[in-house]
Amino acid sequence: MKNAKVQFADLKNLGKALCLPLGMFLIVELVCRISISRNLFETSIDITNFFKSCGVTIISAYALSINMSSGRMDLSLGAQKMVGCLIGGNIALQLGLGPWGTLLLSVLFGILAGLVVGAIFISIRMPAMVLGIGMALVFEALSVAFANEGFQLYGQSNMGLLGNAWFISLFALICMIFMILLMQHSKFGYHYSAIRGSQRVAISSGINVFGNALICYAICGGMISLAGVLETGYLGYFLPALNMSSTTIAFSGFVPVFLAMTLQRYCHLTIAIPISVVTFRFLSMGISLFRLPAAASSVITMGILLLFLIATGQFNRNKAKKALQKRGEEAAVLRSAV
Amino acid sequence: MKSKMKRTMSIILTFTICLLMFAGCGNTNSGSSSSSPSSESAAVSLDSADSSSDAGDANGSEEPRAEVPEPCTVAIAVGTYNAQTLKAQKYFNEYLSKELNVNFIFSEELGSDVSKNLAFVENAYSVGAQGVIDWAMLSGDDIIPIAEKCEQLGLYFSTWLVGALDGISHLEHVVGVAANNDAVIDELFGEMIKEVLGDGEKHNLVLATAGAHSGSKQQVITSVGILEAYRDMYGLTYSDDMEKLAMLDSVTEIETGVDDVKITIFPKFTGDELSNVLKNGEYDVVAVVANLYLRFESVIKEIEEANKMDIKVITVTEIADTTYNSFNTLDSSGNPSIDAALLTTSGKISLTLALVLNGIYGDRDAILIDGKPATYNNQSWICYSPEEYEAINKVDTSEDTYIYNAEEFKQMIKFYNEDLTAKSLMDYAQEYSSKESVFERRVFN
Amino acid sequence: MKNKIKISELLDNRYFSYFLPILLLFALTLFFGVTTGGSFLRLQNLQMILNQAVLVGIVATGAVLIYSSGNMNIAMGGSTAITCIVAVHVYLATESMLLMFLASILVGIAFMGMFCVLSEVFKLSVVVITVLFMTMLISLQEWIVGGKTLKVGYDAVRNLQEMNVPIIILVIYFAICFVVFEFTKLGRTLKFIGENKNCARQTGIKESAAVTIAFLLSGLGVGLGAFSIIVRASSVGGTTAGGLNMEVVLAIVLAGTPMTGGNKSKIFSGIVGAVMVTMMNNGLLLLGVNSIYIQAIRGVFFIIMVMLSGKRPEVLPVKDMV
Repeated sequence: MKNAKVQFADLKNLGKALCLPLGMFLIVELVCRISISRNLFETSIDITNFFKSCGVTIISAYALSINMSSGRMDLSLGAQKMVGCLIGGNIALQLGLGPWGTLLLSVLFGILAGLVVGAIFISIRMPAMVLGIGMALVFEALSVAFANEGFQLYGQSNMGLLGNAWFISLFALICMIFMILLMQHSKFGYHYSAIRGSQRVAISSGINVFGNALICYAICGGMISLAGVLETGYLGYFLPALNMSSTTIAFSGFVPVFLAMTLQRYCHLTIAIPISVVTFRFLSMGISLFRLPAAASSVITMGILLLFLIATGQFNRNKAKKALQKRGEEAAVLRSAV
Repeated sequence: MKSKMKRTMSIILTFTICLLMFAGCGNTNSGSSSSSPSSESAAVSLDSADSSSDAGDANGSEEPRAEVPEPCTVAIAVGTYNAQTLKAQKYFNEYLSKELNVNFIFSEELGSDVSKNLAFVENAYSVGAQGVIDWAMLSGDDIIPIAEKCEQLGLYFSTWLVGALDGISHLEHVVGVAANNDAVIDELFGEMIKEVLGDGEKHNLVLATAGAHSGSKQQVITSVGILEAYRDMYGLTYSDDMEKLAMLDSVTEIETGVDDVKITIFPKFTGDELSNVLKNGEYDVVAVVANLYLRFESVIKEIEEANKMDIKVITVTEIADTTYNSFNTLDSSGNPSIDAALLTTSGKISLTLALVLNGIYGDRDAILIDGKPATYNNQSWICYSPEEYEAINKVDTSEDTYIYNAEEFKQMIKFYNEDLTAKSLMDYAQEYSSKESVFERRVFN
Repeated sequence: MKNKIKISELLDNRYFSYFLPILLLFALTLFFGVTTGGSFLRLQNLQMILNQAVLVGIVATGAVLIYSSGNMNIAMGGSTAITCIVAVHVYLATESMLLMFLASILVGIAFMGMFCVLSEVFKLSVVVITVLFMTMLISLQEWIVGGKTLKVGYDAVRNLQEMNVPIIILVIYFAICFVVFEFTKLGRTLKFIGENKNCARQTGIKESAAVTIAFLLSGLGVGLGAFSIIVRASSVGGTTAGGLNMEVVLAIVLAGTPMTGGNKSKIFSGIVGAVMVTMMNNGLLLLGVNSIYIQAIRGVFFIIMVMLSGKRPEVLPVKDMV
C-alpha cells in the first residue's frame, strides 16, 4: 500500500496531466469564440460525435501502445483490423449473428491475426517493423480476396447498436479498466514492465519473454479489431485497402500514443492515453470549425505535437541541468566545509 | 587480404550493376518496331485492315476476313476496385473472354498515380497486350503521358475519362472515349431535383461537388445541372458564373438572391466535415455528384435523428449491394435513405472494350468521326424507389442479366458487324444501354 | 543436425551473406525467364523493369546510408513528394528545368537536414520524428495539392525521358554513395555506429557528425528521386510517391541490409531490392497471377528473405521509441 505522501504525489501528477485536455479545451474554445463566434459543442451531435470518436481512438491507441512501449512498432495493425472486420465481420453478417456476434467474431479474427504475427515474430525474431510490413502485405491481400466489396454495417438490421455513442464509450471504458488491471495489477503486467526494462534480466529472472510478446500481439489484434467494428458501426462501412495503405490506418493512432508516452512522467500510460486522445480531439474539433480540410487538421495536430515534444524535451533537459548544477554547488559547499 | 578481396568483388559488382543500368539507357522508342510478337501481329492486322479498307472503299474487299479473330490480350488499368469494376472484371474474365477469345489482364489498384499507371502499361506491353483500357482515377492532362506511352508501345488505348480527347486525339492508337452521357446528365439531375423537391416548399441544399474543384469535367457538368435546376425552380440569381461556383474549393454558402433558399457548395469528401455543415438542421437536401454517398449516409441519418427531420438525398451511385442497402434502409421519417439515384452502369465499361477491340482488329478507321477518335455515350439510369431498384440490382450478376450479352456486344465490333460505322455505334450504344432497352431484353427474377 | 549447422554457417559467412541478394536476383531472373518461356528476359522487358525501379532505387540508395548507422527514416516518400511539389512550383514560376533540378536537390537536402536538427539539437527520437513526419507530410501533400495535379507539361520532359535521365542520375548517385560507403572513413564510421553505438562513442567517433552527413547525402537522393518522378510522370498529384515510404524499407531489407544497420549493410541493397520488387511484379504478371495475390506473394517472399539474411538473435529485437 502506498503511503499518503506518495498517493498525494500521484494525485498531484494526475492533476498536472489533466490540465492538458482542460487547457486545450479552454484555448480552442476561446479562439473559436473570438475569431468565428462558434463553440466546440453546439449541438447534441457534437457531443455524440466526440464520444464516438474518442472511444474508438482510445481503443486503437491502447492496441498501438502495448507493442510500441516495448519497442515493437507493428505496422501490420491496420491489416489486422482489416482481417477482423472484413473477414470476421462479413462471416458474422453472413451467419446472421447480430451485433454481439459480429463484435465477437471480429475480435476473435483480430486475435487470430495478432497471434499469427506474434508467433512469427517470436520464432523468427526479425524486427517488428519489418515483419509488420510483410504481414501487412499478406493480410491486406487475404482480406481483399475474401471481401473485396468491404464491410458495410449501414442498413443492416440491429447493427445500429454498434454505432451508438454510449455503447462505444462503454467499450472504451471497459478497455481502460481492462488495461489498468492487466498492466498494473496482474502478473502479466509486472512481467511486461520487467521485459521493457531489460529482456536479458527478465529472462534470467525466469520470465517467459516470448509468451508475453505473443500475448501482447494477440491483445493488440483483438483490440484493434474491436475499434474497427465500432468505427464501422458509426461510419457505416469499411473499405478494403491494398499496397500497404493499411499502415496509415495504424499511424493515425500514433499521435496520441506519442503524447501519452511523454505524459508517463505524470501518470501511468493507461491513464495518459485517454487524456491524450481527448486533448487531440478538442484540437481537431476546433480546427474543423474553421472549415479547413481534414488534411490541414492532421498537419496542424502533428505540428503542435512536435512543438510540444521539443518544448518538453528542452524543459526536461534544462531541469536536469539545473539539478546537476545544484548538486554540484552543494557538493562544493560540503567539500569546503570539510 | 580478405578486405581487399571484398573490395575487389564490390568494385566488380558495382561495374556489373552499372553496366546493367546502362542497358536501360537503350532507346525505348524502338518499342513499336521491336521483335515483340504481339506488336508485330497488331501491326500486321492494322496493315491488312488498312489495305482491305482501302480496297473496300473502292472495289469491295478482295481478301475475305477470318471467321474468328486471332486471340488477343487487353490490359485494364483499374483505379479502384469498387462494386462496378469488380462486376466488370467478372463479366470480362468469366464471360466475354470465352465468347470473344480475348485474354484480360487487370492491374492492381492504381489510384491516380501517373507513375503506377505508366508502369502498368509497360508491364502490359511485356505481357503481350495489344490494347489498354483505362478505368483509372486520373483526371485532366494526366491521361496524356499514359496515352503517349501506349502510342510509343503500339498499344490501342481507350478510356472512360470525360474530356480526355482534348490532348490525345492526334495519337494514332487512341480509339475513343466511352463516357456517361454528359450532354444530358445535367438534365437528368434537373429532372430528379424537380421530382423529389416538387412539393412547392423551399428547400436548402448542400451540393457535394466532389472532384469538380480539381477539374473533373463530369462533376462540374453535373454540379452545374443541379444549380440550374434550383435556379429554374426557385427563380434564383447567382452572384457568379455557375461553373465557377461549382469549382469552388472550400465549403461556401453562395448567394442565391432569395433569402429563404440556401445553397452551400461542399467540395469535401469526409462525413465529419459534412456533419459540421448539416448539424444545425438548416439544410434538408443533399445532392452528391460522384459515387461518395457511402461516406455520408451514416452522418445524414444521424443528423435526421438528432434534428427529427427528413433530409432528401439525390446522388450518383453505382449498381451494387451497398446501394440496395441504402434504398432499403429507412430513415427516421420512414423514407428510404436515398430519394433519387443516378446509377452508373457497366455499359460504358463494355464500350471501352469494344472501342479497343475495333482498334486491335484493324478497324479503327470505322469508329473515327472526321478522322478523329470520338466520345461514345452510355446512358445513366434514374431510380426513385426501392421497388424499382429491386430489379436493377440484379443487372450484371449473371449471364442472363448482362447489359450486353455476347451477340449484342459483337454488334459493336466491326469484325463481327460489317455494317458498323461510328454513327451506328453511337446510336447502338445509346439505345442498348438505356434502362428501357435492358429491361425489355432481359428478365430479372 | 549437421545439415542445419552447415546452412547456418553458410548464412553467417560474410561473403555469402554479402552477395546473397545478388545471387537471389539472378535466381529470380532465371526463374521468371524459364517459367515465362523467355519473355521475361527480352531486353525491352528488362529495360522497363529498370525504368520502373529507378525512383525507389535512387531514394533507397540514400536511405541505406541512414539505416547502416542504426537509424531509420520512414518519411522518405513524403519528403520526396513535397520536394516534387516545390520543384514543380519553381518550374511553373521560372520555366527553367535547371532551376527545378537545383530546387529539388536543395529541398531534399533541407528536409533531411531538418530531421538531423530535430534529432541532434532537440534530442528527439528519430523513430518519433520519422513517424510524425511520415503522416504529416502525406497530409501536407493532400492539403497543398488536394485532388488537383501540378503539371510541368509532357513536352517539357519529353527530351529528358528520351535521354533516360533518371537512369543516368541513378548511376551517378549510386557511384557517389558507393565510393563514400565503401572507400571513405564516413562509410566505415556509419557501419561502426550501426554495429555498436557505445563502442563507437568510446572509440572517439563523433556520431552526430557522421549521421548528419549521411542524412544530407540521403537528402540528395530524395531530391534526385523527386526530379526523376517529374521527368517520368510530368506531374505531381495528391498520391504521388504514396507508397514510397514502405517501398524503400521493403527494398532495403529485402536486399539484405538489416534494420539495425552495422557491417552487414550493403550500399547496393537499395537498387537490388528495388529491382527485385519490380521484377516480382512484372514476372508474376507475366505468369498470369492475379494482382491481389502478387501482393501476398511479395509479402511472403519478403519475410523469407529477411529470415535468410541474418542469424536469429537470442532475444527479441526491440527499438527505443522515445
